[in-house]
Amino acid sequence: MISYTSFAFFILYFGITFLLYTIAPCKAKWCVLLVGSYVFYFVSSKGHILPLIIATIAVWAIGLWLQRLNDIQKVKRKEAPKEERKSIKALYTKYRQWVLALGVAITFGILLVCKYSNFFIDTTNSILGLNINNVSIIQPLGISFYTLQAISYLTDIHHGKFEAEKNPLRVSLFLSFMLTIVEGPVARYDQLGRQFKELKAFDPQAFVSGAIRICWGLIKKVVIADRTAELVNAVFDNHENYSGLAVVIGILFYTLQLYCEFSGVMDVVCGLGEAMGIKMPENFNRPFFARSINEFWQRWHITLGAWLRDYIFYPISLSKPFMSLSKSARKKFDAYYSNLIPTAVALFFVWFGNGFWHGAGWKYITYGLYYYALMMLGLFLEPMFRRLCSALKINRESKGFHFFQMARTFVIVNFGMLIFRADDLKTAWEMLKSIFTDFSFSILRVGAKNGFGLDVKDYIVIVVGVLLVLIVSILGEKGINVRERILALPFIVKFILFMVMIYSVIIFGAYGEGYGVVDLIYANF
Amino acid sequence: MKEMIKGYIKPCIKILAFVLAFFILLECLSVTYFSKARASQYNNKYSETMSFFNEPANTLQIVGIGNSDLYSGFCPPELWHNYGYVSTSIGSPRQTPQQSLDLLKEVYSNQKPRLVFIECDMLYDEPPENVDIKKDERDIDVFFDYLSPDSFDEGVKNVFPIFTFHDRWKNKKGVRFANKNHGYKFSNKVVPVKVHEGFMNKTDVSEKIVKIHGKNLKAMVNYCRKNGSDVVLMTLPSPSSWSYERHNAVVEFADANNLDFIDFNLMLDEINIDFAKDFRDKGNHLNYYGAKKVTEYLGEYISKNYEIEDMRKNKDYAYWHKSYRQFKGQLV
Repeated sequence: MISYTSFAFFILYFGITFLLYTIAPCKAKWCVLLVGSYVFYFVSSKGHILPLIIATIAVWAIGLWLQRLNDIQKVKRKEAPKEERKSIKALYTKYRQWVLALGVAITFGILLVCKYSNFFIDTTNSILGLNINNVSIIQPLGISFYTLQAISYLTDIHHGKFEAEKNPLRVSLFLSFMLTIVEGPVARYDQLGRQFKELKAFDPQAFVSGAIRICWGLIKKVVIADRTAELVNAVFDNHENYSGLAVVIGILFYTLQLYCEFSGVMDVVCGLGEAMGIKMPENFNRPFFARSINEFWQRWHITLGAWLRDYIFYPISLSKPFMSLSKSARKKFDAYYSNLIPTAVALFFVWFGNGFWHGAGWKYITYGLYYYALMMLGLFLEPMFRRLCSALKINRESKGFHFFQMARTFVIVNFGMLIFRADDLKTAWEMLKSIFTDFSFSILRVGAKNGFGLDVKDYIVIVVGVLLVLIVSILGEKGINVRERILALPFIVKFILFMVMIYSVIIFGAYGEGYGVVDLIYANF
Repeated sequence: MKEMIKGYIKPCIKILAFVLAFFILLECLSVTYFSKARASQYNNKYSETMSFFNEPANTLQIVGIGNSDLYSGFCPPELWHNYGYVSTSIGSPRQTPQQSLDLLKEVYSNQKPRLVFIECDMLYDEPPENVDIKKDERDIDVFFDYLSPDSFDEGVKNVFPIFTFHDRWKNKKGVRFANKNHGYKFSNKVVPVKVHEGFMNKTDVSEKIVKIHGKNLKAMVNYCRKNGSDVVLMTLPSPSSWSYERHNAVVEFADANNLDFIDFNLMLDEINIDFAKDFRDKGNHLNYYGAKKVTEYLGEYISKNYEIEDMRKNKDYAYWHKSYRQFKGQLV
């Protein structure tokens, strides 16, 4: 796979595409993006392009079918007498639902087969005591991301949000766009697909703004995340040699690695998009300032959370069975709990889906349900907690209480990261146990001797990097856009600052000999 | 028009000026502080690999090139001490044939080695148990290997060495590198090895060399011969990363290109390799005690097959006696 942070990507694949994109007339720019995206995908996936093509054709055809049903419904309703219009709408809604179900079945089916076959086989074997062999299927690059985009495209057409795209190549570009296919963000057609129809000429301001964001992303990914990977791998891949404080340090560093890598890569792709005049959806919004798990997931992997909300939570919670459940609950419980119960059931599917999407393994499902369980606990106990705070005269709007909430959320997230990173649930449990049963500070002496694979200068770079990220984040929380401030600086100051940023990545980056090759974490999902 | 110049042309000129300044600075840094030659002069993790830059021009008689198997198992100071041959070992962890070819070209810029040993473990990227040797390389796989980002990235690093030596700032300031090992990575750590059953059991099956590696190996052989050097292929003892199937593939290559091939994995008894004492890890790399045995054999092989002068009494090479004494100091 071609990493977004490799020379090959910047110079060859994106570089040549960008050059051709810049000189192409506005109406033809989307064609350049399409060809560039397919060349990138073809080489990156070593020719395993068939699943993407099949999904694209299916999505395009089903989209047109849904649109056709929408159009027929409109015509028939217009022509029919008033008393028949409701039944026509119900009939065509039912037809569209079946067609949508077919579209979802095809795209989701390809994902299930390619990504989850061996998971189902292993689970069946362990439950039924069978010995079915695993199948050898190569997981297509980006399938988890373009499947979600495909389902959102079809569902939005079903709801009449926009008309189906007649040109299959434009649908193809939406699904295969080189900046979204590897690690997201999970874009919507009306966010991204529409922009492809209105591509503009080269804008130097946008280019510079995008370039600053790319540099910032590279600092997070190459300087900080890839450097912390050494310690994380040392602790998690040899967990039997570590316990207590070492495991805590490993978890904290993994959280740092995952955040800096994922948000860093998002900065890179958003910056690249901005340089081309394309606004990409945001995926991170300073998640560690969240005061609850709910808020955390509105700030972390935003596009995934939004997708689960719009295409799982709302359809389930607004469906007839759930409306009935809510009605029944209102007869037995007060207003708060009667709304909570159907929400809780719908959220189960959301969090199960969240975990399941991340990986074909029970640890990922547990990861999703871990957040579900804590969220439900919080929601169910909220009235009691509110009364308790009132009785103890705790001001829940005070800065101190907010800080407590942020710290609590941070701890919860880190325990979730332990589940996420450990090899399996058993290992995660053993590591968790060891934090409490074998806690000592001696590892700081022992670990300091070999440094968990890092030396003093590496730790200095990490600390400086984290401080920089923290400062930029705090300024962001206060509404100060650091990038806009930089863009407003005099040319020579911008010149020097930008040069410093690029050379920081080149000189302080954790790449090359002595550093492990760090694959993009989310590209494996 | 004024607006177009202010809003568009002027910013574009500024961007181009920046890009130009960036590349000028990149080249300046690549030829000065972050250059290959500089990497060999000051203590850092690249010093041993680049140590051949420290050898005076036209002094090297023998060059060994390969990955970590080579720099762990071929010991130039011992070859000097016992036979008077002037040699160097040029290797780095997971060094690829492409990287080896680039390094060889650097060597020939001011050296004329008489003999080059190419260590063949670098022809295989994965240990034998991770490879399905029945699976043939598709033509399209070859296409992807050529387009792989690794190949392109290596090319960029070769043009701008700053990308290879970018972390020189991490090493101690001003500590000059003492070229006592001449590329050899000294280790007297002993890890007993349990050799797996079936290691080097004879078979007719061959594990094909990936085409891109085969192409680069051929390019290395041709380059060396074009510059007047003889070439010998070899594989050092490495139970965890070698197999008879790989041996067969290299034999095919050697026969097709009229090359000698020394496979030490078939000569373990002959050179008296002791699995309890001669490795520094779980069977991938020799330690000093194993390297000494391999180097002794190579010295004997060279003396019987090549007319290479013993330089121990040559005053121009007296510095090698000094560097050998420094090398021996590590054994204490």
